[in-house]
Amino acid sequence: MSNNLTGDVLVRNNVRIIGTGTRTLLFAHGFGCDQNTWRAIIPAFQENYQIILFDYVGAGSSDLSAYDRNRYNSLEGYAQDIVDICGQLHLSEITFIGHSVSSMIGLLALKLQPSIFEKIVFIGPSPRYINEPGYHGGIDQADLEELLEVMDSNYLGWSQMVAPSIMGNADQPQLAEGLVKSFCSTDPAIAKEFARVTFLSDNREDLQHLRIPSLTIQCNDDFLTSYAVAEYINEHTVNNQIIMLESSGHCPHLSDPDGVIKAIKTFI
Amino acid sequence: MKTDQVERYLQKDFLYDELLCGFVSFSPDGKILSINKTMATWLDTDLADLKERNFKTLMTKSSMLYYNMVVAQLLHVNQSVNEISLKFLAKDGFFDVLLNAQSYKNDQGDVFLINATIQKISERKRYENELLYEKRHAETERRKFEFLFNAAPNHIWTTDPEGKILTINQRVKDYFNLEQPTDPFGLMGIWPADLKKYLNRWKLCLSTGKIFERHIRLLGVSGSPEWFLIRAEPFYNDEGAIEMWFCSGTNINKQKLLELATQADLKSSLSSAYKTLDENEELFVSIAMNHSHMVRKPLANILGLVKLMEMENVNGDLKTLMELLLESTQELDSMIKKLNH
Repeated sequence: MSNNLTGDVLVRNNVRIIGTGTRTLLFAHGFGCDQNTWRAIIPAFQENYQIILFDYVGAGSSDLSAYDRNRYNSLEGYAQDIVDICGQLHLSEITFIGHSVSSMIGLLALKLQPSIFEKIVFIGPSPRYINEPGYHGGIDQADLEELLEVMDSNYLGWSQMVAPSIMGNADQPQLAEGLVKSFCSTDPAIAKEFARVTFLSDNREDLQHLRIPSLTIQCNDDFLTSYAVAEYINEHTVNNQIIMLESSGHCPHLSDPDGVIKAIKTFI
Repeated sequence: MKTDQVERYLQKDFLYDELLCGFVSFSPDGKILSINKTMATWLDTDLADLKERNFKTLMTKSSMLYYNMVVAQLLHVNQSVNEISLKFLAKDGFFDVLLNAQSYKNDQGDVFLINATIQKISERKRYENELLYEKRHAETERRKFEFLFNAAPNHIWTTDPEGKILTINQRVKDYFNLEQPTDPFGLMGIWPADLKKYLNRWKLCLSTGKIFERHIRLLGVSGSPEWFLIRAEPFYNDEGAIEMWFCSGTNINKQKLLELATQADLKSSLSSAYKTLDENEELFVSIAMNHSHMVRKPLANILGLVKLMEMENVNGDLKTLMELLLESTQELDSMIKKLNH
């Protein structure tokens, strides 16, 4: 079942409700894609769960005009989006599944509204990406500056060519399903700001406030995070468990959907 | 006619290796399955060594981050990417490329192969960097202007050559409590009593390009009209035509009200002074008349007495003194008569 929703928040974040069930799973995409990133995961849950999907402002089919530089200059602004969505849909004590930066956004949403989630799943999380003395986040400040330059290069027009070429690909039967209209399309200027906010965030202090059961799903070979980072989260939270996947990369829900589905089902 | 050499050059293996672009096939985790000679030459690495490497490790760290965060997801979800700008490592630094790639999925929907072409774009990149620098510079300047535009204490807005409002700054938005101009020419914000003189002058300026400068009352959310110094100056483009008008409004309400009050006071003071002068003059004339009357009465007596004394037989020095006394008395009488007139 897919409902077309109305309401400012629901339109702003292109919220979609899929599946049937009394328990609710809220999936939050990470940097670089939109709700379509969950397409390999959803079928495994839609029979028994109500699934909430959404796009952050600036990604997918969200309302780009709702982008407010002041609101989204920290992860708290994105966390407020999640609180808004749950408020609009009268949701509480649901299970949150966040990929990459959305893990910490979910943590911040929980801090804003403690009753919002009963369980939380982190996929490839990191409370701090930048390396510091005594902490290995994975990237140096110089890497971040260069990354923003690469994003700028792809902002000049090349990346904008990606979406149309994909839209014209008749080889993809998924397009006919009506589930998606855009494919990981992001506004380049907003994406760049999102990257800056993401990589400069530091949520290590927030970990201590996490009291509900949490699961970290981590790949063996992840360029952006690592087992050491997953362990850091585990050591600084209560009631956290880690499931390591054999697959590599930062997006196991794409490269190893079965592994991710199994891990989530075991936890929830 | 094809020679043996041409035949050799047209063989697929030869073409693959000698392609004018790099060609790499790799598995989703990045393991290189096949790579052509062109790419190996650009990377300045042995072809055999490259087949043991991970495709992602051929890039700079920042490009590898971008590839993993954005490109890898696109290849999973959409199966192709076009013209992605990345940097690849070389022995003497790095080189810029554009990457096109296509992924292939098995029956289970899992990606099992990615084919990528890599086009070296060092020269083009140099030009692109220049464009990027200019774009960044322009963006910085735009943001500075926007900051100034909104931070200035004055009302600032722009219009097109016909006077239609294009942009308004935060002060205008706050003063009239609006996000965008609801009235295209901004006339609703002008106090009705000043509208005519504003329009007459503004139309003249729009048609002649003369600078507009007037004291006008505006009516904002406060509900009370306030005086503003409105100034508008035309901005000419390179062709010499008016492209837009830059307008400003400075709140001069206090000064203007003070000025108007001072003018009223001055007028009142001048009237009062004239009245006092008139009254004083009247009084002076009256005093002069009274005094003349009072002085002339004894003087007339003195004249009469001197003339009686002349009738007596007086000689010598006494006679001379009598004549002098009469002369002085007549002179004094004449002077008092003049004063009365």
